[in-house]
Amino acid sequence: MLSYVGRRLLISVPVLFGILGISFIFVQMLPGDPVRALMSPEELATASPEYIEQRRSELGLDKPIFVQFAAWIGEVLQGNLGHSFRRNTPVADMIFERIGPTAILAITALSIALIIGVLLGTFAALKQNSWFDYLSSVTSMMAVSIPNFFLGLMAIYIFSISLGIFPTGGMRTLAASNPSALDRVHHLILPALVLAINLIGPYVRYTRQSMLEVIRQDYITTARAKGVPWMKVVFGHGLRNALIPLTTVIAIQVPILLTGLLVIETIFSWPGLGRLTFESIMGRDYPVIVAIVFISAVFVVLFNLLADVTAAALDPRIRL
Amino acid sequence: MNLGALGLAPAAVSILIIAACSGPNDNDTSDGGAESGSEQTLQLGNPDEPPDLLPYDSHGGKEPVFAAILTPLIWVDSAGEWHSELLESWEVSDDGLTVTLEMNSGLEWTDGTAVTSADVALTLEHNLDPQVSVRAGSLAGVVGAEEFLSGETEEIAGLTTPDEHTVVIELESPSVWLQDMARERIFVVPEHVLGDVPHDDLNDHEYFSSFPVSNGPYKFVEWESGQHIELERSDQWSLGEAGFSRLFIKYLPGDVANAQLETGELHYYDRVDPSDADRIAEFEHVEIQSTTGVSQSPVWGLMYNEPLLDERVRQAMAHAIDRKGICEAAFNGFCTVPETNIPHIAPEWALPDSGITVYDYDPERAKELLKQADWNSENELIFLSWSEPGGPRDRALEIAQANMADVGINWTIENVDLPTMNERNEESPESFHGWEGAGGNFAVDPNFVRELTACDKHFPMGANRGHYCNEELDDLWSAGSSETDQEERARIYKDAFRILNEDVPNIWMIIPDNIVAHDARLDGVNPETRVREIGDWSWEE
Amino acid sequence: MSENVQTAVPVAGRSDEEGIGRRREREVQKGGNGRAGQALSPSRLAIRRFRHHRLAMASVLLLSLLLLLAVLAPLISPYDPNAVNTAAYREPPSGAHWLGTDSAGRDVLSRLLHGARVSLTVGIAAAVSATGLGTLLGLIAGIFRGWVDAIIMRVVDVFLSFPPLVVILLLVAILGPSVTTIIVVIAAFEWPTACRIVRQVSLSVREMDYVLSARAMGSGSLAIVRRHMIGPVLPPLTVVATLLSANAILLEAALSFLGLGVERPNATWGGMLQAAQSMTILQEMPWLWLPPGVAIAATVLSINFMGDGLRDAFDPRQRL
Repeated sequence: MLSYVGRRLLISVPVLFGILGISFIFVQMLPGDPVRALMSPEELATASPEYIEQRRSELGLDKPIFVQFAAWIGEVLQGNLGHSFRRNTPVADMIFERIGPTAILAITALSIALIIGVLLGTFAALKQNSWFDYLSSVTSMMAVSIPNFFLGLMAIYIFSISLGIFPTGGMRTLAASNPSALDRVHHLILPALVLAINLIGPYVRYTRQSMLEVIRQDYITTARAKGVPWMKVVFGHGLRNALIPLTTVIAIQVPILLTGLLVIETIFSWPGLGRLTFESIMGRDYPVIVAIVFISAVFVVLFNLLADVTAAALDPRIRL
Repeated sequence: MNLGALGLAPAAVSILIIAACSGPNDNDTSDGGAESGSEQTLQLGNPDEPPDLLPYDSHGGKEPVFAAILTPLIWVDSAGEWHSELLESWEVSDDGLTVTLEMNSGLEWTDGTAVTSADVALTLEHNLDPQVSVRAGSLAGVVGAEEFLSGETEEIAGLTTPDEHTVVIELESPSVWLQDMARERIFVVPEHVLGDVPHDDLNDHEYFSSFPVSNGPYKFVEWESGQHIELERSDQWSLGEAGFSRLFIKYLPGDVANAQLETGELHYYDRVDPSDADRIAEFEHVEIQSTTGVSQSPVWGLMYNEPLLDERVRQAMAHAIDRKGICEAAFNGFCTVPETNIPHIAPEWALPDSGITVYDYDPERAKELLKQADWNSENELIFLSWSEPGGPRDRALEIAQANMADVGINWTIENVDLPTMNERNEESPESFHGWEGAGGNFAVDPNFVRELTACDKHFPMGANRGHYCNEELDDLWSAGSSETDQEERARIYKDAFRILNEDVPNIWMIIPDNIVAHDARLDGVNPETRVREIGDWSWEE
Repeated sequence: MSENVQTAVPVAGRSDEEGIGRRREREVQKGGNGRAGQALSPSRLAIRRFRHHRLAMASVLLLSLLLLLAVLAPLISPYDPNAVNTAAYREPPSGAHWLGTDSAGRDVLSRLLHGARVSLTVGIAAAVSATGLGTLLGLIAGIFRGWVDAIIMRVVDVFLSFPPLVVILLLVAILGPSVTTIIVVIAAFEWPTACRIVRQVSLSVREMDYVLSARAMGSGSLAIVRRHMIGPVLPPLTVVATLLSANAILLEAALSFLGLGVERPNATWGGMLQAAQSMTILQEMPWLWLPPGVAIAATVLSINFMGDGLRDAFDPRQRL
């Protein structure tokens, strides 16, 4: 087990190195200069070449590409992610600041999607080929088919403006000097729901599938014949069977959600990592872009490993 | 031709109140920020979060913050009038070589220290350093600045403070230095905090992340990145009393701002999409005000390359675009149309009133001009746009594109971000033919138009992105900037603008109105100055 | 954006291989691998099963209709999709303009029909190029094995570990937003799925008795590929391709939202929906958002159902 984990981590080292290299090449290929990217057209018109040269050398951009790359690797090896071009802060601080809100939103949405998805999937399986079965698969597929920027605006229109139930955005009520936990939850619900709608599809599908497999098994028929309650059979055996594909889905979704919430974060004024990524690309903030790509990749590696280990723990047939 | 009717007189600013709903306010949206207990909080919206809070450039997102916590040296309104809370007077000597700034007394920093000439001198010193400020280029020309920057001297010889209230600036040659300085809207920084800080360390200095000492109506509290900047009332403000105990500047996209105005979560927004203005005006608790704007946006910029070198082609474009229709459809009528293709880029005294062409919408004339110029309708032209998708500028560009296609000029609009546009402008100017531009406030002095049109101001050395060049015009620019006789100056600039009118280096499409939406209870909002007088705002009695 | 994009790729199951980010395609593999060993692929059975999938059949009909409309757009559009009319902007539907006019006075119906051309082109071209590239590399890896295989597989790992949204935004910023860019981006980052499937199948095929005997009888590699690989590889590849094309259409919409839409004056569904992103339009002018919104949702939904039907048809155990 331990040696397996160690081997997996070892294999991922060259992969991470490759990712670092490719993202470095990409940021260098971005058109436009990071110094000028920070300036408005009017400022550019009056900015002196000395100012631009000075800023370039402050950012280390006047050095050869290989030197810059080596410097970055050096920083990463020291557990340091470098210094932002745009803000006068370490990249690590910037990412740390944004990862919390993203995590809250993503975890809430995942939980909602998981609960609703599992319930829908279970009942769809129990009532296989009924109208409910069809309805649940149609709606869960519909949910991933609507562009989410539109879904978000629609949700604001319906729930914030017409019904006045939820605030339109932000993480808390600014007027209140000491926002309560309830207030934060209140702000979280709408963006989390919109995101959950996007995530729900696979949960419905895999729960349904696993349930159907279990329901057909001989040992279930036997268990039922022996008088084990129906609900216990469904939730005890069926859900257990569904757990492995579900953890796999979660393991894939989490690292993607880390940077993938840009659209929802933008619409709901949520200060997450997705928006930081977008702003960094538009602002040519090279160190932040590379750091975000790198951290996401590390998450992919870790969550994949986590999923495999969990799967092995859940299913004795799987050996690592 | 009555130029005033075309909106050529920026001084004649009309304030139009669309919805003045002054009845008792029964705003009961429970989620709004306006419920009881929060009456003392004001929430402003802004779509652009600044990358930092250094006062050495003019990022659009910094303006509300600095307007609230600091004091500008001078600011110029849309009519070209100068204002200053800090200065009592500003004078240029007859030979044009000495600028004298006399300060008001009584303004204090929050720690009780008086704001003095030393603060102003330090601020100017920072802004003269190209390693600190982007403004150094336009403020160049102060005696001794180069020696100071190269380390030869400890001080700038031409920047002196004879007493606590006086700053004297000596210039190397007569120029419009004072006008340049006024246009930049420079916020003054405290000498007793930053005086000993080497210029190299300014960017990272603690002062600019917490502003422990300030002198505006509000004090800095906190910046929650990605969300808002929080400010609170400063009790030490020497010019009056701020109307709110707390102030939030929220960073959010336009459609969300629109929704928050409706729910009462936002009290002020000045980037209203004109096509939303009518709907916002219907909200009972929101008021919309608008005033004639001064800066052109969008500008259909042209590259001075083949196949656009023939001025008849450029004139044809100006005739082909239905600018009045665009004003109506894309800006919902909240705009003026610069039909002579030059106004609003200079003060009135410098504009010619005769011998100029009016480029009204005339597709037939456009086709005729194209025919004369042997235009090939197979030409494929590329236009680089960076405006917000779906916004009024974007709509205006799409209509103009279709208008030009109707007369046989085929453009493709590519969406690029600004860094990309800058790089292509610098490295492959022949790879495109048009670019989206936006004007600033040029009402201060006609010489600023030089930045956009002179042969030696080709991008990136200046804002002449199209690389337009006309030597006759250049001679007029240099003559105008060193001329001290006002009448003679006016004559020179009128000639210059006649050339611009004839040559059509770029097409000034629309001058959008300033539209401001705010809570109806908010008193003191002026769409012309927008956030600049934020200290005077309060809830209506 | 990416929550839409990514969850449309179904995931589940578990294999005993190790690796990074390897699961995105497992579900799809199941469709093929299970059948790889059967000498005669009963494609007729599959077609019959597909025909019984009512939703899938309805989707195919709808997509065929859309394709027809897109092809005929220049002939059947009542107006030039780019002709503006500043005297009749944002007009509600009428006899002259069945779906009203947009903010520049253009005919919404004509733009919708022309928009179908762009959306379907993006969808089909992206899917074909990504699966094509993946198939090629998968074959190379499977045939040459050894270090070639090892290198390709590490590259696959690298590509699967990139945060999808970040690389898409980076590449769009580098290449400039256009129809071609969207296709290239998807091809460049979605090929690993197809690559894995093809490699897997080709590796297993090599070991099979009939291939060994075919080789002994002097058949060349190409002949073997043609005869024994197409059968098992085609089913999972078509499933992958359908999902990719759904993603591509949603991606175009999301990029429009972010201001990275395709060149104008091209009418696109995403661009039309983005232009309707305002409370005023949402509340008062449904003819501006309903047509592009329904068009995107219906197309993506149909493609997803078609993929679903294909999966069920190829592997009946999936839908018990």
